Amino acid sequence: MGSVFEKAALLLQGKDPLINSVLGTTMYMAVLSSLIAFSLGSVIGLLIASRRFPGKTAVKIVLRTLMGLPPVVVGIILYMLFSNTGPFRALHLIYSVPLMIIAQVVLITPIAAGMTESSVASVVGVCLPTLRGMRLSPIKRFGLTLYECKYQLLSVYLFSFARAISEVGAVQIVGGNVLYKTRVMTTAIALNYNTGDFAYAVALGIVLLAIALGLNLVAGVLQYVARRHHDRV
Amino acid sequence: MKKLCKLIALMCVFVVLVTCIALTACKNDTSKKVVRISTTTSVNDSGLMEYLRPAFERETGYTWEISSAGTGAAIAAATYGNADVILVHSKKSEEEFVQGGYSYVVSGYKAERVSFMHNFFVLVGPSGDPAGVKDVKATSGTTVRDAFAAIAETESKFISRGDKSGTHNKEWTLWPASVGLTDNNVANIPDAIKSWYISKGQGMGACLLAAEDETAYVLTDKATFLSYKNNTDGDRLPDLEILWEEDDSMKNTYSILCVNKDAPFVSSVTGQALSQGSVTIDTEAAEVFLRWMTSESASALIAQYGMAEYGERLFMLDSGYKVE
Repeated sequence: MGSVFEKAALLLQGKDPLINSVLGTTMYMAVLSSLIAFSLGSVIGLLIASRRFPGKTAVKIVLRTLMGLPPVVVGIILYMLFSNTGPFRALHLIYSVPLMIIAQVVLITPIAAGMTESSVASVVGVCLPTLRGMRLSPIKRFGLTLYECKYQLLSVYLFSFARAISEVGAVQIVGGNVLYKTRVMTTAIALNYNTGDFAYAVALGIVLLAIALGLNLVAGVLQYVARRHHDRV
Repeated sequence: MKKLCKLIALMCVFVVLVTCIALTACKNDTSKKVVRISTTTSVNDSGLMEYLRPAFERETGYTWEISSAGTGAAIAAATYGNADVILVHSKKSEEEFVQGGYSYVVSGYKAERVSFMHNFFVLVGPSGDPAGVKDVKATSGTTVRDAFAAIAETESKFISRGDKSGTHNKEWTLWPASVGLTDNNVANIPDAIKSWYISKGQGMGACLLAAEDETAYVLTDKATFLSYKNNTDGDRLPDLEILWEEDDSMKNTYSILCVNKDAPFVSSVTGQALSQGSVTIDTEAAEVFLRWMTSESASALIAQYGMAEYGERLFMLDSGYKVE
């Protein structure tokens, strides 16, 4: 396995001509799609968790079903919609990074919403009556609920990012794995498996994990700082 | 509360920073004209196109964007208007594409299908050779069909791609009628052969590895086999060896087809006909690609491909497709 780690080290030093393009596209796609999906999903999840309305159970069931959307099917449907013979052909998005981001948002938003809903329901149940009693405006109430759920929301975001950076089925179809344009880490890994370069594929996987580790370290530090601040208050 | 604001501000700065870094890293080179090529994964996996890319960009001023998928999806991409030109190796599917009106004859060429190079399929199997393919080969007057008959007779394990790829389309036609394979539909595999005929539904690499693990026979293109055999990390298929090769019936012909911009495109969702010219196809770019791939300088490069790595050339050039 020594050679795998050597290759990974070389990749991390940026000495591979392809890696910079692939890594750049990957980060751009993963950061943007996870931020959009998280913003949409967490608001939807918070709204469902904090409100009582008819059909709430049905909405929750639909949401949990959508959490299991098969990526390849989403990829094929978007491929048909955005092809140059599809209804959205005027946008010219086929085999482009924006379409990959759209696919990711479709896949991740229900997951972010469902996770937010289930993880904040207990917190909301406790603090909402208090907030109502304080007669705060709905916007202030929403902001304070958001603040109370910060740990849960941070883990929802991290999970969204992890999904965005590791997905392969949908981005392969709508992106087409075009070199220097839509090739990302996961599709590059799949390609190198097909060509028999296993060590290179695993090395790319190690780089992918290193990125995830870096982001989680930053998140861990943020969480630590926030908790210390919380304890002092 | 102040500290919280600071924290939120810090997070925002972090997010903006990461986005900016990502944005700058993802720069797009828009100065060059682009030809959109759709090809099968096996063409892409062979590494040929990346080997040719620098010369193509230098000599034509164009760059290419290659999307790759299985044979079916690669051709579908063109009928969906997502490619200017296709590079594939499945005669039957290509002919259907031409009959559908999706291609046209470029001036200076004889037909829509420009079959400009070929390589060979090879039958590989375990060194133990339980079906005795080596003996069949040694007998004079035998063809690869006799080898397949021997595999079927001894019920030796065989790995089939099972994915309607060019390789799969070749393989099912090589079996004797008694095996009962009538088409490339995996639903029609007779129960009687299921004990030894394994339909994987995966790419060439995965099938080769499976054949190595299960001491089975497998039909493969030579380029993929050699890349697994002479990998930089060593031999991935120590037990497999080539048992049948370089036979005219084992030819694997690659063709380039330019996409007709006036093709009868239909909406990919509703199936309704689209008005002519509503689908953008860059025929100029496609023709630049076709002419370059069949030029002398590309031919010289293709003829050299594989020599350094494997000591033999992987693609043989064909001729006779141009109008004299």
